[in-house]
Amino acid sequence: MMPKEDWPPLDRDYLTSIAEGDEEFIEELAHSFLNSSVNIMAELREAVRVSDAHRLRHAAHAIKGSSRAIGANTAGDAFERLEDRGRDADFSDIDRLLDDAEGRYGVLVGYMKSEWPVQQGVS
Amino acid sequence: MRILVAEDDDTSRLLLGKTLRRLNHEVTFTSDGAEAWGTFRRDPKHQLVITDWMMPGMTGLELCRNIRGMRLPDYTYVFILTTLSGKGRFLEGMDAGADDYITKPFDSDELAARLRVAERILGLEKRLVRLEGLLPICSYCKQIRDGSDHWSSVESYVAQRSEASFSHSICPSCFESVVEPEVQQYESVDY
Repeated sequence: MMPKEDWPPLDRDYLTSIAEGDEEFIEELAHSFLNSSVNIMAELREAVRVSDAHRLRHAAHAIKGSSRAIGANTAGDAFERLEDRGRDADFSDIDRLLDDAEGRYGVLVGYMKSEWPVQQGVS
Repeated sequence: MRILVAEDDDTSRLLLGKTLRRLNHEVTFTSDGAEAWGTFRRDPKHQLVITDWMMPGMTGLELCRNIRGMRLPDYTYVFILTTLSGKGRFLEGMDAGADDYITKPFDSDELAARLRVAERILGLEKRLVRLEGLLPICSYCKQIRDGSDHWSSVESYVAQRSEASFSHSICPSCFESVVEPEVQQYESVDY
């Protein structure tokens, strides 16, 4: 269950500000995030599965940047904790951190898909 | 300005594109450091490079060092744009030869202001190169030709282009070779 203060999972005011109020561009950003994050999340899970610190650091860094770029800061923070573990090659308690990040990512994706539905035929 | 962007994150690339297009810059996008390096080597006329730090293949720091290693006649201004923050990172970026460092997520107004600074510095650097360049000088009268084919004395050429002013004097060698013989010549004349 996500804490109340973490809802919505991204900062709409920030998103509107960086998009200069352009709703079509916000939608483009949202779809870009939804498309590109799928592969990065897969890489992140694989890095944890095989305990590859370098891959973990890079994947977590990448999705942290994407998340923060759209104002999804709590998800960004969760990915940063994974990035730190990758940097330090510290896999203790890694499953809990991954679960936390997965949870936040899932909520974020659900929210974004309801706000900016991806049309049929659009990847 | 002609700007080369090296950014592996699609969403950040979109955002940068929106800001840079609004500011009327001509932008080439690349999706990692190695691609950016290849593009820059083929076309080193980009005035400014905005690069992420951590990218697959080649990091932003390596890209920056490679650009500096080319020792190009025209200066290339390099921004590092990254989620990595802290004094240590900043110093590492600057040591690699970067001119500016911005943390993500960036503020578009702040980026615009920093780009104006970059433009100002590149303009000053161009003027400096012009001043340091070879000057066409007459072998006989030592007048200098300017960009509009006009010949002027060294004094007026320099005075027009800098804060310098001249106080006239005579160096020891000219005193010995020119002034002294003239004085002796005058003294030998029997009035």
